[in-house]
Amino acid sequence: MNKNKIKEIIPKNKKEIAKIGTVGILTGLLSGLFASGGGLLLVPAFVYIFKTTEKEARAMSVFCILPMVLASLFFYNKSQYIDWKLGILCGIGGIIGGILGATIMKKVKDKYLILIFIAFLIYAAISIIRM
Amino acid sequence: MLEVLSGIVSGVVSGMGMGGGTILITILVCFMGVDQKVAQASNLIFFIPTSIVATIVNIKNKEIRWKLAIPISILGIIGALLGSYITTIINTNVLRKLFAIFLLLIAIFEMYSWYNKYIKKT
Repeated sequence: MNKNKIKEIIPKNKKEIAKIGTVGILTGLLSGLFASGGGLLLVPAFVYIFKTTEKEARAMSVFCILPMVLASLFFYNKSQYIDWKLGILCGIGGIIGGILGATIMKKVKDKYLILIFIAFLIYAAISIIRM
Repeated sequence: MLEVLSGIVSGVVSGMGMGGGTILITILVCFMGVDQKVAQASNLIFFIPTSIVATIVNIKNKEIRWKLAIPISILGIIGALLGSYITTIINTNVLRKLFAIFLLLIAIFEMYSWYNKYIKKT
């Protein structure tokens, strides 16, 4: 990477710096605190604040969250919260499910899937609070 | 086997572009009795392999705006270190309750965007 390219990456004005700073720190905090939900914040932020396309927003959110996840692993590992067997088994399922999900996505209307997702979240939240 | 199944369900949700991570943590905590912090740590590991593959594909397809993605990643790392440090020091029950509130907020946000996308427009 040459000098000009590095200059290009540094945001130009104060407003842009403030926006990037707030979105970046908040996403990181969520990713660290709950180890999830960063994408749910970052994708709409890219679309509505930084005016990217939906596709770019999804691509960039995965790109940005990856280093945050790796950083979070440091403290989780230090406090011995990592169950590698559980994580890897879930990960294997995740790869299969990801491929399935991308295939289903083309066939089912997400209008109804989002409703199921919302219902599940509410049910889960209530059962966790009552635990 | 149940672990793999939980992964599949969350993977399907992720593949459809919704919050797969929140679903995985919820399944592990609610249905499999896993500790909140351990469940969250598992989601971190769960995220790594698929996101590395996706990122390589996305870079090849030139979907990344570096000017935006790099500063957000760097600040995000600072936030993530702070957030994960908080997680390791707070009480698990408090964290679990906070997570439940977080799920409710996501549900409200999703309802709002669902309304805007499908009801308001037509």
